[in-house]
Amino acid sequence: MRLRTTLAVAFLGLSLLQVLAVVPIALRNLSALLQRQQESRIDQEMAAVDATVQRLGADVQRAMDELATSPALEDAARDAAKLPPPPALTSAAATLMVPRGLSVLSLFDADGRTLSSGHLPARLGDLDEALFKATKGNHTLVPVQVELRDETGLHTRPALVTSRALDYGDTRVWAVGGSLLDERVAQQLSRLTGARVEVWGGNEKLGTAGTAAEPTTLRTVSWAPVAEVRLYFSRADLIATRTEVLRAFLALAALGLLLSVGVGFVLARRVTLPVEALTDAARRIAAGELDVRVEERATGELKALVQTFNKMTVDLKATTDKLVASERIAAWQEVARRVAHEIKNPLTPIRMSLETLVAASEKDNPRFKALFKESAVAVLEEVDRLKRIVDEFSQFARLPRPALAQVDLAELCRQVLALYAPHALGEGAAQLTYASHLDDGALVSADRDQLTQVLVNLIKNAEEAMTATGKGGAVTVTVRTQPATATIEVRDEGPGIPPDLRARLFEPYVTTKPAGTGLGLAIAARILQEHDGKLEVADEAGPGACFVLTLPRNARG
Amino acid sequence: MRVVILALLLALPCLAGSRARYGGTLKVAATARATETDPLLADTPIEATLVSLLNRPLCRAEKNGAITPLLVTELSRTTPTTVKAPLRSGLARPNGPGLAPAELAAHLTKLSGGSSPYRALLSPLKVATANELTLAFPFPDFERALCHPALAPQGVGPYRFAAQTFTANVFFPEGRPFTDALTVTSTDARTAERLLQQRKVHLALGLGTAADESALLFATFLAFNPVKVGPDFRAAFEAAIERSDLVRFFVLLPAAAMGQLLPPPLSAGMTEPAKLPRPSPLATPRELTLAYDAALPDHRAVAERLQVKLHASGYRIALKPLTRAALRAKPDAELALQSLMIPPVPALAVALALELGGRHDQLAAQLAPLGLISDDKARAHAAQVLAEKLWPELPLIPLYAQALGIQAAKDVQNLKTDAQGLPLLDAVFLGQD
Amino acid sequence: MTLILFLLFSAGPADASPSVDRLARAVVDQATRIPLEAPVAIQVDAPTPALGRAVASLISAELSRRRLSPVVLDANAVTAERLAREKDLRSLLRVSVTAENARLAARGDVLPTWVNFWAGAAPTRSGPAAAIAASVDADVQAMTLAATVAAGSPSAPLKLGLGVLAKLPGVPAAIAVGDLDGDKRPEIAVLMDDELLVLSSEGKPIARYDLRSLAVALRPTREPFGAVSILTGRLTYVSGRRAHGETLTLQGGSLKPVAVSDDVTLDAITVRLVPGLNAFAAEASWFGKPLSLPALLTTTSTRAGLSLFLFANGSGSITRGTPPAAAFTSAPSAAVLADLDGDQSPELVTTSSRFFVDGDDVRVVPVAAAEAIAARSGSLADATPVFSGATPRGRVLAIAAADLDGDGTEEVVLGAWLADGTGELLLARRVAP
Repeated sequence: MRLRTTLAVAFLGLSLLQVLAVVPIALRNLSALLQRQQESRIDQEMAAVDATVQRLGADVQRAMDELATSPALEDAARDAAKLPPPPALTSAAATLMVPRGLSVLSLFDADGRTLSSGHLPARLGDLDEALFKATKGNHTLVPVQVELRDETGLHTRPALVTSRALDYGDTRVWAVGGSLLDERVAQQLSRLTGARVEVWGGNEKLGTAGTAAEPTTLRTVSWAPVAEVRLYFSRADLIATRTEVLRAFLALAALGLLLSVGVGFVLARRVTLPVEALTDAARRIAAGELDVRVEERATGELKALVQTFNKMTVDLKATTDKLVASERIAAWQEVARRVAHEIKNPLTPIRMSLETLVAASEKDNPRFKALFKESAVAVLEEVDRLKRIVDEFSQFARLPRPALAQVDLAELCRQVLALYAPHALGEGAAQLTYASHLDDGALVSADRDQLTQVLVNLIKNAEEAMTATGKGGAVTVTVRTQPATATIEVRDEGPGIPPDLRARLFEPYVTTKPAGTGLGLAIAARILQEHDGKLEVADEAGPGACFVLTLPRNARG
Repeated sequence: MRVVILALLLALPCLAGSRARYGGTLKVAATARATETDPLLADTPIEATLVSLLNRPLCRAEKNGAITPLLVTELSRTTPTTVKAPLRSGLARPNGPGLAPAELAAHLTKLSGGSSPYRALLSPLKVATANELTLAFPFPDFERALCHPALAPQGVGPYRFAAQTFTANVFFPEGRPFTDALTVTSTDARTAERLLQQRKVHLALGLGTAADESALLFATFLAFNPVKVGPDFRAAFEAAIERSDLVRFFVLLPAAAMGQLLPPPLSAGMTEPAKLPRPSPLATPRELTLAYDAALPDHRAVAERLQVKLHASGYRIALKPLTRAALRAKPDAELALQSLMIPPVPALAVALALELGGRHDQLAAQLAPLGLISDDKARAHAAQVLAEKLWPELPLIPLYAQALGIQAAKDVQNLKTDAQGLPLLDAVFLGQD
Repeated sequence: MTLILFLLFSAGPADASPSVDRLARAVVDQATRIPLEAPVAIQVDAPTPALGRAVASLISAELSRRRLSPVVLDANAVTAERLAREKDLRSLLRVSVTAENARLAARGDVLPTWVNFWAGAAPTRSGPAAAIAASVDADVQAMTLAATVAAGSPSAPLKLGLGVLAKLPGVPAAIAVGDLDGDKRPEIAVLMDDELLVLSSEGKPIARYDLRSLAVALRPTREPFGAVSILTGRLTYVSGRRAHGETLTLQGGSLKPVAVSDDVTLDAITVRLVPGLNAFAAEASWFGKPLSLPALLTTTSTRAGLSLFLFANGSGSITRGTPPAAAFTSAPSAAVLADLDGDQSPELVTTSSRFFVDGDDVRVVPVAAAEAIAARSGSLADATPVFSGATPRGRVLAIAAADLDGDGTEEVVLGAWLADGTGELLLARRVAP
């Protein structure tokens, strides 16, 4: 995997790790915090509810205290003994009840007989034990069941009542009053707390107020045995908050991740670009381009690296140039040496021949004619050899400009291969065969003869390589077309090219053959250069050498 | 000089003394709103008083038992079953022609065939023709029945009503009322008392507790459907409800408990009905509906009381307020509070009780034997015996009887009541004594 | 005068007045409630010896009828007991009789007086005692017995004795006294609601005239009201209940109509009824000349040039020959000018000015005092009466004065309205103080 991807993935992985490490903990903590907050809020609400309930009770007590000292109650006590009771007495409870905000009020005589009832006027004259019980408590608030009537019948409802007594002479009048625990209480508490409040009396729901979205928490206020107030506090907002927070958190985390991925990529890129540039440059340098400079900006160590690289490249180029120059000089030295050697070689026999002749002539050797003929032959041979060498050199040095014409490479190869036939190598089973894969449509602009020369050279080399091993094999010629170029590939199954020679293969006087001049490939390479093409050795693994000619295609022909 | 003296004399205030004075406006405060205008429906004491200002029946029964003919010149018997009732001439009415004998006969025929409980008063009537009424059987109390305010034909009365005021009808056969006009203010008891004290009204109807016993004739019954309420209902009712409590706490006074089918003025000497044993409370509660008159606060208070007290005996009672017309027309409720103005004659009171108890078809059979008794006291006694006999059979529980309490300012003179306990406001005049 | 003397000297049990008889019987009934032992002593105190003698003799007649051996004692109450013991009489009946306001009342006791001779010096009573209280209406004869002969002197203090003259079937709307049948003795005519009654001056009915068959007034009055006058042997009446008035003559014991008339002349003033009201129109005529009165007129009477007017608004006035100017207030329900003492100048006899009384006042006020009060527009009730009495019951709304017995002084006939719808005539005459 590429460094950039690795870096980015590493960055991502690190971020993810952080996120995964942090988010659940944070969420749990947050959840717990919110829960605690809601609990404390509910507790506060319940405290307010308690306060309200207390106030309710206190209101009732205050109203009853005020009632106990009011002149209206005194009038009622005074009228209590009259028979028939005056309307002022029978309606006293109703008129006393309303302005004091009481929803239950009954006036009793000392025996518990109702003198006046504000909440159930129809109870006049009866004993009301349930309500009269409240007179036993000493001014305390007592939860009782109170009877009420409506058009459908008689119902019992819970209420909180307290009692006060008033003495008028030796008549005693009890006032028992308080508040019904009904929908009003539910509404009051619901307004206060925002919860859904249900007032239950026994098994009957008496009033409900407010709404609370599910899910809910239940708290109760109990006035056993008559009533119970259930407060449903909605946890929906807690959950919604939690979900919101979680979502926000996750969104942020995702955003952060994305950001970190982005940043990671950017950073990786920033880091790896110089590295890639360096890598690319190194590859190109390895491929032979020594002009490469890494332009990437980098910071820190990478900058030092890039600078060093560039310097190194420059040095390398200089060194390489020097090397090449020195190699060229060495090559010219080598050429000169070889020329000198080659020329020297025939010079000696020439000299010797001539010297012989001279000597023979002086001595008037009888065999001077035979000797003269031998020496002339020898000298002429040597002169031929010298001429050949000079020809090759001049051919190498002065290659004629190619006469371009449209050539179909496949057809050319066919033609060339037609000259060769498979044959056996000496005695033995080793065969030498010729194969070809020829693509059509490889039209190039080229000098036919020169190309032929190259091909022949290559095939000959292949033959000689495989002959040398004695194993035989196949010489495969392949013509391929690429979009812009066409290639001819010549492959053999010989020993291949030793790696140290690969780089110098196309230099003159580089040869593996004992009797070669070492110019053939150089000429071939030169020819291809003239054609704007290339001749390369494919660096392949496996036995055998493979030479590739590359030529620009000429589609139009 | 003479003019000045004249002016002086005329300026003399209408001071004390002597004869009944004509003139002035009688201001009356009533503690109930009078919404009904039909004499058949307007039978609460206040409504009957006010409606009878515009619609008088044929005759008036006085407290001493005498009968004063009003619309007729006389009421006499030619035979035991023929009543001669010649209509006075010239009985003008405010809208339309004067009352004609044929119209009166048609009115009586319509009433006796109608659906009001007061048709029981006319049950002895066989045929009503102009100026003569033929009875199906002899019935000496028939004239007293004709004096009942509910049977008044519309339109002939001592006053006419226009622009919120009653103005004197000068052509009224008994003589025009002493006061020129009469105004009625409907308020509650306290305001009425205050108005009376401040001399803003002369009379307050429905105030005051003092009334003579003979006027306790507006009786309230609880009619029930015996099939639907079950066999123990009467016993449970008697055990749960104390009539004295009802009277003391829940109804407007003056009122008295009614333990017999006849109201207190008529039930002297009757034996108490046998006490029923207290039944156990019902195993499964019974759902009943109690219909009552929405216009009467007494009915409402009593209905609530019944609802509350019968709850413990296992009866779940729902209340249903109705208009009076709907209440009289046999509402489809298991219980109904019915209030009627009972005439002060035992035989007629028994007739009304039979009618309320749904025994209209038995009226003739039960009343005819009473009608054969010519002595008033004996007949009254026989009616009482019949009432005692009917007590367990009729699906009717009597509750209480009320009278009309009246308070008058000092300058109200000649305030008298008739045998029905209703004040004769047209005989009232204003003046300092 | 002759009549009275005759009555006085012939007073005996057979001739004694029925009311004294009733009184005696009532006393004896009460006395015999306890077992009385014969012989019974009787002691009577009475305002006049005549009355005392009458009562005593009637009581003893009654006691002898019951076989109780009465003995009349002539002593006073204190000594009677001792006398009775001395005479060995075993029981003593002591009665004190008073005659006031047309009622005879007897009060006293009956006690055993027989002393056990073993008791010795201190006499003790053995047996129970009983109280006696009885009272009856006094008729005229009783009042005569109770009164001495009128002194005839104007300066003597004036005292009137009242007695019941007659009972009437209806309330008297108007009274007139005059000679109707030409026998030089006055008759008394009384107008009631549905009949006209003529009585002798002793109160015996002579003739009746039924008004029921006559046309009813278009605007009848509420109370019976009208006027009667007897002039030159003719009786003229107008009634608020009837459409027209009539003039009648008495022929052969029955009254016959002679003419229809809507005017009636009361002494000197001719008046006409206002339809529907209990008053006469303010336009009257006086000896043919128009007389404009300041208000509606209720009644009028004239004596010796003095005219008395009572108006419907409660005022009244006395004039001498001129239209009435000054007026007094608190006019009574009935008043008349009468010369009670024979001095040729009239006194004013008035009744109460209250609307409703049971037992009306009868007062005699000097005319001069009345005129003085009228001059300052004062209240007639402030006048100091020369005599003040009362009728036993009812209220007096009709009054007439004439000399019934020919003794030169006028008597006053009062018509009282009783609560049960009947009436009575009372006679007031001057008696010794």
